[in-house]
Amino acid sequence: MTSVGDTAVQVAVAEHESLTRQAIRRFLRHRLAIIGLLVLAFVAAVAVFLPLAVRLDPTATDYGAIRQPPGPGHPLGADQSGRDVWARLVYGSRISLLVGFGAVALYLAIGTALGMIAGFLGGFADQLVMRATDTLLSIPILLLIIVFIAVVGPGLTSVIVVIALLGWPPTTRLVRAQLLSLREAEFVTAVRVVGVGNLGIVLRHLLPNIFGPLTVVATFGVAQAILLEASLSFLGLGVRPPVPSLGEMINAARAPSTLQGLPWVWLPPGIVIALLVLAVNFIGDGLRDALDPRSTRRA
Amino acid sequence: MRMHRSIVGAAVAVLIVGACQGASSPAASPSSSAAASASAGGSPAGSAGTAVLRVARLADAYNFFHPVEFQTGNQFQWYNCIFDTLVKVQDDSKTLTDDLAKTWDVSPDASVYTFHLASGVKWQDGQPFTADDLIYTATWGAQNYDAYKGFLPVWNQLKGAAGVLHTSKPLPGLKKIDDSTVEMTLEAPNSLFLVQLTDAANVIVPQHLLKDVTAANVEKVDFTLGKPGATIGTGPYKLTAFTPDQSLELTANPDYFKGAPKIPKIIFKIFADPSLAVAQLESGDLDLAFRVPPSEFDRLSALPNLNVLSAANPGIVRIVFRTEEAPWSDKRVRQAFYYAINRQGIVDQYYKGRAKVLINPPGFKEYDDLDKYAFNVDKAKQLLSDAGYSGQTFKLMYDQTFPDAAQVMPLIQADLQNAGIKVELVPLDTATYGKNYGSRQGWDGFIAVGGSEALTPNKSEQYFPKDGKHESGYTNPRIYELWAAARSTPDAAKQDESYHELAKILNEDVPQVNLYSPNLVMVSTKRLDGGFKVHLNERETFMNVETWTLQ
Amino acid sequence: MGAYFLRRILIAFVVLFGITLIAYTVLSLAPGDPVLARLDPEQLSRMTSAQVDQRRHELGLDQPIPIRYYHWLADVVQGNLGFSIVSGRPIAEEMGPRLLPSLSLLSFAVIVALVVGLPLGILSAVHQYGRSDYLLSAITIFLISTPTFVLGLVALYVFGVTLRVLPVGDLYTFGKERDILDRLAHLAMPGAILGLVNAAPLMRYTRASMVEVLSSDYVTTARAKGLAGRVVLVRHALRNALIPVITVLGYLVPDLVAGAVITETVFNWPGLGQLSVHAANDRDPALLMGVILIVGAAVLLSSIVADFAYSVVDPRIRYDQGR
Repeated sequence: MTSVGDTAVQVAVAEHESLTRQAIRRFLRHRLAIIGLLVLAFVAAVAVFLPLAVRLDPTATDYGAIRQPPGPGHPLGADQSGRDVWARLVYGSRISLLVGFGAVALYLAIGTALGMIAGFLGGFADQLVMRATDTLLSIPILLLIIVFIAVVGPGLTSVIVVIALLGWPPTTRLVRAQLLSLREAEFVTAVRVVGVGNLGIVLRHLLPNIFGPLTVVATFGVAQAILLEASLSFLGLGVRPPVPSLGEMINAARAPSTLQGLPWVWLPPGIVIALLVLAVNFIGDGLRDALDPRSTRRA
Repeated sequence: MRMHRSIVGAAVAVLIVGACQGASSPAASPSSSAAASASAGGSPAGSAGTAVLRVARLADAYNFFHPVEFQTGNQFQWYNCIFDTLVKVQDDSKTLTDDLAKTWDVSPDASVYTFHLASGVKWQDGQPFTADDLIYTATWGAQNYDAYKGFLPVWNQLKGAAGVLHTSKPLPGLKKIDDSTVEMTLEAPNSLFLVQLTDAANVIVPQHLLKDVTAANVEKVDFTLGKPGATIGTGPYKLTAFTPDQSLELTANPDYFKGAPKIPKIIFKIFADPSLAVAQLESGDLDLAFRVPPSEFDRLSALPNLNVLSAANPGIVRIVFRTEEAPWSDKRVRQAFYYAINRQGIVDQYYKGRAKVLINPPGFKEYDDLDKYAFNVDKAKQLLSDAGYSGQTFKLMYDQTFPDAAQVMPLIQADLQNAGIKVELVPLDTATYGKNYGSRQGWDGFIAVGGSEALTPNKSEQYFPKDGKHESGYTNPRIYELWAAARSTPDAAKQDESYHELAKILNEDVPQVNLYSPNLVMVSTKRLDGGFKVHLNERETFMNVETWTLQ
Repeated sequence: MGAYFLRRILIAFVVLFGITLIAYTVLSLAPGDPVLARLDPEQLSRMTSAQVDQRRHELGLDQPIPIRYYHWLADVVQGNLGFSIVSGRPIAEEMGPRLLPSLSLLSFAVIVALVVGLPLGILSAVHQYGRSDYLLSAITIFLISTPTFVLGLVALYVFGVTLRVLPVGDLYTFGKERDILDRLAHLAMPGAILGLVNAAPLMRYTRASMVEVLSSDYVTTARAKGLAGRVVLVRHALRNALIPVITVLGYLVPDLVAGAVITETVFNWPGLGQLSVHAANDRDPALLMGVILIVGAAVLLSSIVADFAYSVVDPRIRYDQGR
């Protein structure tokens, strides 16, 4: 029994490794995903590192530069308060990425914890978690976010926390499903007989298995979170001034004179959000195709 | 496939049901009929010769029709259509014209007014209007004076008004001479009484409908809530539909005593977002708009079918301080704010000249000997250090819906920070702003926008309530003496002396920093004609609405 | 089967209960004294603290949250949804006139999503990896990634103001309430935007489903039997591919509702979405609860309907057989 179990484990481990390599190879062939990755990396690099190298002030006002079109001193022009659009674009991208990755990281943690609780403990805890999951998935997330923000008030932390508090269900479902199927797997029974503790099983076998699907969920989650932050800021329920936000910059376009007369104020943030979300979506597509063994995509 | 078609079928069915919302009008419960006929728009290519005037005033509106409730300029425009006052003013907002009072006599000392009421006036439900309605309105107004939440009526100026507060006693200063003559005696002489009477907080309401209404239940009766058939006035237009926060439909009153109005219907639209109103002006779905954002002036002026007016506005955007709390209690700190903010820059660069720098509260003359507080960051810093300002944060709250808030507040904050003042901006929704304003919580200063009705300095007294528990809390007994002195004399030169001294006091003590006065932009379709003219105080524009014509 | 759906409906009620409880609890935890939200500040400034306490007691605001929730629930069951703190009007009156506008917007959007998404998804699948497939994929991803409000704003200005082919905002032209064409013209832009944005995921899903079916055994068999391509397509592939699409439609409803919030705001469409933004901006708890209740119920109902549709269409699905 033991030797069969050993071999089974070894085979499982061996299969797993080459699967990873296969997945990476498939991903690298997905042209759009590579482009997405490059775009994301570029935007992130600029957003994170440029302010460290160059002096950029997104909140400095300048009466002389009010509504100035792109030109010397202001590569993308200035907005109605004389603030540099380029600087705001860079800092706004920071915020979008911060919200995107921050909220998702947070809810990955929450979701995994809850999924493990549900999977391990079973019974009542499992039921409770699953009901909560179903409940949250039944309602459009924007509506619930609006209710929460109405209570806690808008702001950067509010947005991140609220998105995290409401976005964990898909993660939980994934983790729990994996845990359940893991329990059934023969080699787990085998390993348990040998004496490896529950936690050991989890760490060694669960995590590698869910890593793939979780990455896909997380990636699309980042795209969704970025769009949510932009929408919330557009509605006036998101990040508060003076923190720059791409969504809030686009809000200015609701005034007809800005929409038609000051395109440099709202088109760049619109393009950047679309690019960011596009890039992340492509990456997600690539990951999903790469990890899905049934994928019919031609290499 | 079957199910697919069925889903589509179901969706189409719902769509058609939705489209037939108006067609399937259920037995008229007021709110559903309001829903059916409210919220109108225009045809894409611009309406040609409809009999409906579509109006919007791009400022906040509240949903009440009794003058005791909180109101804003929007409601004043509605009141002027549905109700009447004793007297009205012409478009210079000064010259009196008759309304429910056909003629009047004023005693030489301006303390006794006798009104001879117009004849043949009927309420919109057919009942005749008599002096009793005026007596009722004024008496109720004095008895419940402290229940008025918005603009205050004049009824408390009548003799003995203080004594009837919270009672049901008759008002001594109010005497009915006969069914069409009423004499009012004021507690103190007031040469501006007649002009004050034109304010829409003084509309005359029907006694036969409201005689059992008290301050406690007034908010709940149909008259106040705006129900067709219950909200009755003597005015040129009847309320025929009202959807709160959306639209108001008014239909001409053929029995109006000054003659039937020429425009059959008026729709007041309420816009949460002024941009849509601007778009509708362009597309021809809106005929008349007040307080259009000044940034749209250039685009709209270029359109062939619109008249665009940019009018100077006595209303001022200002910062009101909590003057009783340190360090804002030191007037040097407040003066520093004045020097720190580049008000001329805001006017020239942001408003492109379509605004003015004013250093007085609304209505005052810009006397030459007043300190202009020209932009000077060094002076600001000097004053701050003299006063010992040590970096306390100034919490500046404002209603985020006030026009240009998002663009101007960063400019103000940046200027103040450059002078070393730490500023925290607190943008709030209208409801919370109102709450904080009333409870005086959550701010060290707030942005006030308004006073555009203040064409005389007299009206600015309301910004300095005597109890010190509202607004800036600044109470200098001298200023009230001066205001009363100005009112007590009809001599313009003497009035000016008082106002001049007032202006100097306020200019030095700086309970409020007066930032700038943005022009008001009004847009009307060229098809609107007849007696139509935008009043100097644009809220009063509807005072002669029955004479307007629309091609 | 009946038993299954009865159970689903019961579970839906429980879920609705859960959602409203969460929302109520969250709203009750808002900082600040809830009494201030229910009382007029003018009145409040004139009341002694004993009077304020009494008012608090009368309104039941001094009791623990579960009890207050219970009272709210009891009121709802009797048809009383409370009052708006801003307008003072009953919630039902605030929400009533907005139901049909939202419903008609959503219905129009569903039709647009189906009419655009399904055929294009099928087209993509049939011409998999062809040029049209890539083009459509690109457009799809563009639609998914660009924020709805950006698309809406641009459409508003191109079609509404610059070209003037469609009316801007509102439900209908005054005087033409019963003119269906007029109403449709007003519905066109907001509905199209909402529909197109949701057509994109529908298109992707249809394509994926179709691709899977087209490469399946029975299709290959049918082709081998010599049946014409189109016959194969319509009679066999399509029907089977569309089955999972129906469930996706059910899942699309929450997205549509969320999208409606943005769309209604951009186009000033007087529906529930716009109302919820106002309610959030005004911090109006009763109104927010009302919106959550109605929207929650509608979304849950739609998912049950979608499941029902799925079971009717796919003879292989039988819900009452355990697992």
